[in-house]
Amino acid sequence: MLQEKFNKIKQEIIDELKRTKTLEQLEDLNNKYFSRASGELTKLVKEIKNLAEEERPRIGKIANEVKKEAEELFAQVRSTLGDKVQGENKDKVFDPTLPGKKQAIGKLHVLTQIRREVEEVFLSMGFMVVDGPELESEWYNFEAVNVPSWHPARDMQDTFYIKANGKRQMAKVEGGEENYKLVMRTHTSNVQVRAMEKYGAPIRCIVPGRVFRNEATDARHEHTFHQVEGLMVDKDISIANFKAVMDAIIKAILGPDFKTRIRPGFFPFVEPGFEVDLSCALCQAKGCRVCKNTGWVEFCGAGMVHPNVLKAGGVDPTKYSGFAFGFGLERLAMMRYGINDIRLFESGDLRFLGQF
Amino acid sequence: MLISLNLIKKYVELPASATPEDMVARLSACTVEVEDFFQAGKDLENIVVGKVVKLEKHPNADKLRIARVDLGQEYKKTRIQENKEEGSSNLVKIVCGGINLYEGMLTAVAVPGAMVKWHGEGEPVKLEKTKIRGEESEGMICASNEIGLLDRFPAEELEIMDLTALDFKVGEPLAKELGLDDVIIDIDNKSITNRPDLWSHYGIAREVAAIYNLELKPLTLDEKLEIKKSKSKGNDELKVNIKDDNLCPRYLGVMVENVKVKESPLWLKNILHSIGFRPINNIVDITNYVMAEVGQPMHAFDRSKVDNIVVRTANQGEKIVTLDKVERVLAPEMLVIADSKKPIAIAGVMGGQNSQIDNETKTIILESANFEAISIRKTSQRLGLRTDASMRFEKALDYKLAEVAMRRACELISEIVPEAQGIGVIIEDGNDKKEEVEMEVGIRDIQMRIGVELKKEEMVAILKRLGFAVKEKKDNFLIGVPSWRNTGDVSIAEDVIEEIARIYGYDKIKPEFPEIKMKQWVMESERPMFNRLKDILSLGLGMQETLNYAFWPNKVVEDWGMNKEPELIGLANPLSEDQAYLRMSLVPGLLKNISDNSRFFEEFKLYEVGRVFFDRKGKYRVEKHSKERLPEQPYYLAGAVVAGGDKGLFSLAKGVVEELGKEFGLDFVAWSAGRNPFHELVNKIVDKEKRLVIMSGKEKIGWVGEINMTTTDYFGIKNRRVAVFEIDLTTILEIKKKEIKQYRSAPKYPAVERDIAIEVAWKARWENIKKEIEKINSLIKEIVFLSEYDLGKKKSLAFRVKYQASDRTLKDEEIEAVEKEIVRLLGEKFGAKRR
Repeated sequence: MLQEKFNKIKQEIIDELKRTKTLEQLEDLNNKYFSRASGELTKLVKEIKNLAEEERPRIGKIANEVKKEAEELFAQVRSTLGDKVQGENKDKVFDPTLPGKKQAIGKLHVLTQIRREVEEVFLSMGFMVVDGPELESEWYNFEAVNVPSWHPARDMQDTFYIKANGKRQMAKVEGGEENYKLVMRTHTSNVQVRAMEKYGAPIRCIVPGRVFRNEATDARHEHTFHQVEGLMVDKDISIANFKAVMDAIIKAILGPDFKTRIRPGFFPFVEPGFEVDLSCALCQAKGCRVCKNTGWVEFCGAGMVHPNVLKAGGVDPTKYSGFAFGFGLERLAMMRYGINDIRLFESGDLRFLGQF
Repeated sequence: MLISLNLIKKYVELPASATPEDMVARLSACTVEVEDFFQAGKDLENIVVGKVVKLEKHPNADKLRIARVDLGQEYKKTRIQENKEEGSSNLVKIVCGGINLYEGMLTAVAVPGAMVKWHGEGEPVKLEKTKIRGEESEGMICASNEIGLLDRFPAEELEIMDLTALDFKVGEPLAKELGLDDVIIDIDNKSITNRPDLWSHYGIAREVAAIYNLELKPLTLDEKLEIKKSKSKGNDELKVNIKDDNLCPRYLGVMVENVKVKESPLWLKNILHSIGFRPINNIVDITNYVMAEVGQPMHAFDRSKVDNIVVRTANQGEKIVTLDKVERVLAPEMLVIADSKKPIAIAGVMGGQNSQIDNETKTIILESANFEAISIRKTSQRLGLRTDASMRFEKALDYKLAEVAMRRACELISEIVPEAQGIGVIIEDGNDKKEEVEMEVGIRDIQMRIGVELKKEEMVAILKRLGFAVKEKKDNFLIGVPSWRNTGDVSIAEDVIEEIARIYGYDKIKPEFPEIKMKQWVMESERPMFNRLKDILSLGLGMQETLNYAFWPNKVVEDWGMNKEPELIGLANPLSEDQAYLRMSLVPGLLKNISDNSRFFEEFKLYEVGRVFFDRKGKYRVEKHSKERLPEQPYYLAGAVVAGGDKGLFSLAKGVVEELGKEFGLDFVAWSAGRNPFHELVNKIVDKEKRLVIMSGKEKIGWVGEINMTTTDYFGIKNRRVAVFEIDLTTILEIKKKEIKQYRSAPKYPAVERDIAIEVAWKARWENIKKEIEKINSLIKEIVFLSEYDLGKKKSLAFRVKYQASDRTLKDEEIEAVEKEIVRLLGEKFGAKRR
């Protein structure tokens, strides 16, 4: 009974294949007989398990033969039809040089990209990444980092002050009349003391973030930009240590060919204070217009943390010492990508942002 | 500040190896920031002193003459070489129109290659040999305005420079003869804000001597001057009276009689020019020169206009016209120099016109004083008047310097104004007593902090070169600070360490990694979240990250009525109206970006992560022990999708939020009446229908909505629709801090999907329909919206239902039964019919 059915279906397949003219028809036929759920041949094969046990091997063998034969026939027809189609289309050549299909990919802001690179390097050296407020009290922005109100260094910082308001009376001493003013932080150094208060010494951290200066903008100056503050406080930290760490970081971020040097610089929150220079990337330190023929370009301010700053952070300066530094992310990006106008970073211009 | 190398050389004998390049490099490496350095007479190259030997008429021009000029033997030699001429004449032929030419005159001659301004106008051009009205001219006899020397050599029209009286050497470069063969070093003022001693040539010379290990020569001072305390009685003598000895610890006055106020000698004018001062007259020039030389500002009063000297604070509302002819209203905390009746100078800032010296002045009072730095600084700031004097005083000057400067000035007066009489006595009030600083610094501490095993002798030598006194006491140095550094500049061990390290040379310190103990490391929670979030938005969903200023322009705030927001924070001193307020939302920034970019792009997606600011108590303390908190400044995320025409932008924006929701657990609820998320602005800019509130747990933490036409029009967004979402990330972080996803294994048995389309009233909301279906049976695993379209009075809704059991493959009958129930229930609850 089942054997006949197999023979019958085999003949049906042969007949139908003869009538098949296109690859689409062939595919339909293939589904009709071989589909896993509802194929006619598949269904027949499933019936074998209902036979008596002694019948099964013989019929099974027949079933296999029929299936194999049918598959071979299908393959033959497929090949013939394929050749035919190819013959018809032999002038229609596929062009693999056409561009690929356009994908919609968004970009991270170039500063986010470079900030992540910087963070990776510092994280790998055991620095934490710490955050702090952008709207800050005069205490953390100035006093705590050794910049008292009369200090000439406040000249360097043209500060955005927050408009006074009845609710914002921040008394310096409880019940006192003198108030702290609020400012938009002029540097990420405001987090130095906050970080020491929170985590104590020893500490290694960086603070990437936005800072504000009340100055007119041009291609080189912005009232809003991004800094990375670094702070390392531990036992017996020396200038030699600072040189090693800074050099390692620059090489990791910018490449092994970059060199660093330090010179005296004045920043109230450090003593001694340094200016850190980078070997000029443009001229390979041979001297050019960008580096004013010195072979070096200014990269960041730094120094050994002033004991007053350690004290403000609750750290004993007789037990601990450390270094701090701060550099601009925009400057790094401008150096690397040859960007000539700092205002582009906050322009929201997709023609700029899309390039990175 | 400009420094003349020639003046430095007066005090330090430099070896040949100390070229200007080398010195600038070493000053930068050890002391200050050098902005630039340049040859002083560089623009006078190829201009030499010439002697007019013969004058002849020009055959073709009445107003021109032909001068035969001697340019010296050197010039003759090079001329012979260049022209390969034999026995060329000593004399050079030059056509000239100067009206004051005469035979025997010494003048300035530009030879080919010199840069000259024709008739003193336009940009300098390079001089070449030429023919003027048919006659060869091998150079040019210069007027002072043609070579930039007009202010030093005032001249009438068509007058050329007459140098005969100056006795310059024929053939020598003019720059050299003018004392201009100098190198000028420009030092960045910011790099010496902490070093009052370096605001002078002598201070820089001291550093140069220390760096090169050379001897510093002493200043030439008038040592004979006798110091007398000011007496309160007597008539002729000058009286000095300090009323406030905190603000003025010491005041020295010297009276000089029989002074003739006139032009300074050329050398003095030249040096002042080179270092950026405008010569005025011999007396003022001497005070300026002393300031440049030793760093002490001085002043000269006309004795006849002043009865005596009183140093006091100003009276409320007191007025003075300063030398710049501006009337200044003084405040009581400002220090003035006065006589018995009126203020005659603002102490340490600027002199008054009422006591100014002029050509009639016969007797002067020279002032050299010490003023308190902060007071000068405040006065100068309040008056908006920064002068060379105030810049120095506000850095705190060496308390001993007033006397040094006075002796130096008197020495110069004797030299330059020989007819002057009566110099001999300094009238003094106050004193120069100040506690001397002696510090004890551990030798080991110095070595440790620098990170180099420096030898004791080397450290001592460096400190001594800088003027410090050093004694050894066991393991410590006892260090005496010289008066010029005892100004608050050197007061702690770290200051001494800096002195040693910088002169030793930072470049010589070998880098060495610190050896440290490991410690618990903390990841502040924003970082991973922001990274993940930005990756999803940019790299996953194809959005571009942007950054906008934290400020809101005044105009936007007013136009949107935001100035009524109680939590809006304003700036006290914005640069411009564009930064009048702090932003409370990121959306206006994005709308501006969209407006700017829609000229170039049809469709795009943007987002920004940044802080916004509200005037309410935030989490950061104002100071560690203070109860006060800074205003709240959470991080927000805002995103915008932009396209032309209605392309289902609301749905697109909501889709983005839904993707983020999978990560951070977000929900939506309907916009409710009253105060909605954040502030009124949102209510104003969002479409009344296409909007939802975003929830995290029970907190409203954001919103999504399409921007209405009024708003897009306001921002100049043309032919585009915009949908926006904004989320308070800081609050999400607080809610979701600890949540970690749990893995669920893939189902064992297959799922079956069936599509259903229903016809239903417009008011039936998907949210409710979905909820009803979910309740029917646990076999329903997922209900996916497929489409909605318009059937006129009703709408069609199509959705796909996914059925699945965890323990078996579902049979058709089971599924059909549930499906029937779905259709029945939707009919009952919403009047829906299957289509």
